[in-house]
Amino acid sequence: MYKIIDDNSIEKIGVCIIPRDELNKDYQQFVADVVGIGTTCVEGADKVVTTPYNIARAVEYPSWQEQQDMQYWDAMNGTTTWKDKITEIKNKYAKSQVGVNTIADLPDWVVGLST
Amino acid sequence: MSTLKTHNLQSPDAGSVNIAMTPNAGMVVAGLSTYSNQINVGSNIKLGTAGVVTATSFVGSGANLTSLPAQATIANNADNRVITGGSGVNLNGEASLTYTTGILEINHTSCQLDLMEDGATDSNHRIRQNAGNLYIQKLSDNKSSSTTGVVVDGGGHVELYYSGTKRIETTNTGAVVTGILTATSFSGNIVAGAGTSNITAGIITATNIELAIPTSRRNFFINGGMYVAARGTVTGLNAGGFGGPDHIKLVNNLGTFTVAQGNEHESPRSEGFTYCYKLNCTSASGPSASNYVYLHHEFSGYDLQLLRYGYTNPHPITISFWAKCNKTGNFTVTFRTVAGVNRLISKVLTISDSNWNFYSVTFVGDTSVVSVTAGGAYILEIWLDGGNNYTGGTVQTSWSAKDNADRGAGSTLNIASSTSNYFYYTGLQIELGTVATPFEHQLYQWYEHECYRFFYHPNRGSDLLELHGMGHRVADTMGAVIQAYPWPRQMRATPTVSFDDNAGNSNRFAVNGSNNSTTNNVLLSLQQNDQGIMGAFQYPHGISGISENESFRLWAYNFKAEAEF
Repeated sequence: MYKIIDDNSIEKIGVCIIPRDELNKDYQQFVADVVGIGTTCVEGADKVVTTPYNIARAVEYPSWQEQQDMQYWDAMNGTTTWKDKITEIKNKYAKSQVGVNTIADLPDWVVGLST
Repeated sequence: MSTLKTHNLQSPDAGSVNIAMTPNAGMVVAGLSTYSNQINVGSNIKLGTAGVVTATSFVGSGANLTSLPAQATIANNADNRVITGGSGVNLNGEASLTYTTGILEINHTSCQLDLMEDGATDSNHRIRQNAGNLYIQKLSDNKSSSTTGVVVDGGGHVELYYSGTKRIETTNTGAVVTGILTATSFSGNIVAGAGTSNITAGIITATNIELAIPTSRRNFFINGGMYVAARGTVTGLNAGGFGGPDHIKLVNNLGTFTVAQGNEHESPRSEGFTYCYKLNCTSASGPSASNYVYLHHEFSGYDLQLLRYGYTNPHPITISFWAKCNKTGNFTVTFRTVAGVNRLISKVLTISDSNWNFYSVTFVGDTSVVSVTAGGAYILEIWLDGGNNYTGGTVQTSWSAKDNADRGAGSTLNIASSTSNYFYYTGLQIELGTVATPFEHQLYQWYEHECYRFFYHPNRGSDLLELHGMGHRVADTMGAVIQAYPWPRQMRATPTVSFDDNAGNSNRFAVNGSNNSTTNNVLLSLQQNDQGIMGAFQYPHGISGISENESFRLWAYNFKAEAEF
């Protein structure tokens, strides 16, 4: 059973990663299998539908330098800018938000092998 | 009366004087026809009554002599006489024989003929005809000893000697020179004979040597000495695979085998080999029709295009190796063409004992064109076992269209029949021409470099490949980028890679970030090609636990990159 990783690579699941290179013996076998068995032996690439909360938060958190700067001015001015920003991001991506992947359709270069 | 004095005597019946007396000059007798006794003329001429004339010498023309005897006889025969023609009426005895025209024949039967100078001088020579051979010999020891210089043998050949040692002998195909042949120039081809009739030489000196067969880089197979065994011992092979010495693939669906590299105690070291390929059966089975066991060696179309298959005078190749097997029987060597054509040629070899033995096979060139490609185009198969679908055909000793039943035809070794069975071999050489030349040993690093073209793994514990990367942001999306990593040399093709994260996840990385925290089961887009990993990345979403600009180590355990045919 194969799984598409990207347009350059196919994983023979649990065995190896095969390059999309016609001189590669394993790729030749992949092509032979798709032609002989059909596209049912290939699964499309993972497609991320929902990003896990920790990755989503990490993207939006200000850098450490920016956060330290916020905390300095909050201390000087008695404001809550830093705390508000962090709370906003945490609320935006609750801990209950888990990553969700779906399987993408097979790319044309795979479908084309069997037609 | 003591003296009768008269002028003439005449018969009374005669009409003229019968005897005239000439004063002081004798007498003239007319009409004398009979005489009762011999007439003596002087002291030497005698005219006999029986018509015999004798004299001490005759003078004058003998042209009118008749009834001479048919041949002359030399009555006084003796050894060592030479009779030659002379001038005038003489037959001369001479010191030397001179013969300048026509044919001089000296015929003999069942005896020896010698022509030599008389006398006892050493260093003279003789020409001897004896027992159907002609000799020219130098004499010594007062002609009691001889040293042969030239022999014209009755069987047809000619021999030339130097001081009694034969140096040149003509044959039905040319000549054999024993020793050093020196000439101001040579032309034509030098062709060595098959088997042990090789050209043996010390030093050849020439201003230019042009060879049809290369003297270096003769061996088309890159690991024939079995020097490099990057994969190490591989056990449990029941569906084929690589292991032991590089670039050799066991192809089997019968029995289970361990393949390994043999050391100097297991190899024919007396023949110059300290490594060998070891194939040991660990689970026995008898073949059904569709079973097979053979050793597979493959070559690209680029590498063997010099064979000129399909063109004028395609080259023959010779395959040679040393092998040792506990079983006696036959095994089959098959050479195939598989790019743009599908043909084969085979020969059956026999193992008669369990010693290391040398085997060689020569295959003529084929008339079918083979594609020029970096992919596999030529395959050498050594068949050790198989069922009827692969061994039940005909041994094709000339090039034929491929039929699977012919590929292992003639093989009776049945290597998978017992767990005590083994087949070891080394010194595999595939070369141009019809002669199995001595194995071409190369430096170890050369073999290693060549083998990297087909297989690479990091030479460290757990075959760990360690790369470095960093968290990376593109707009509002996190990602990760990883350093490029070149292979030790350009590989034949983009390799298949395999590895794990040391946590049970195949083809996934372990990522070790700040504070030495490790995240497993990470999938990346490797971006590998035939030159290396050209900058892997993870995008979008990045790697869990890795922040923007955070550096990390990327670990791939048991990493292998394989670009075999």
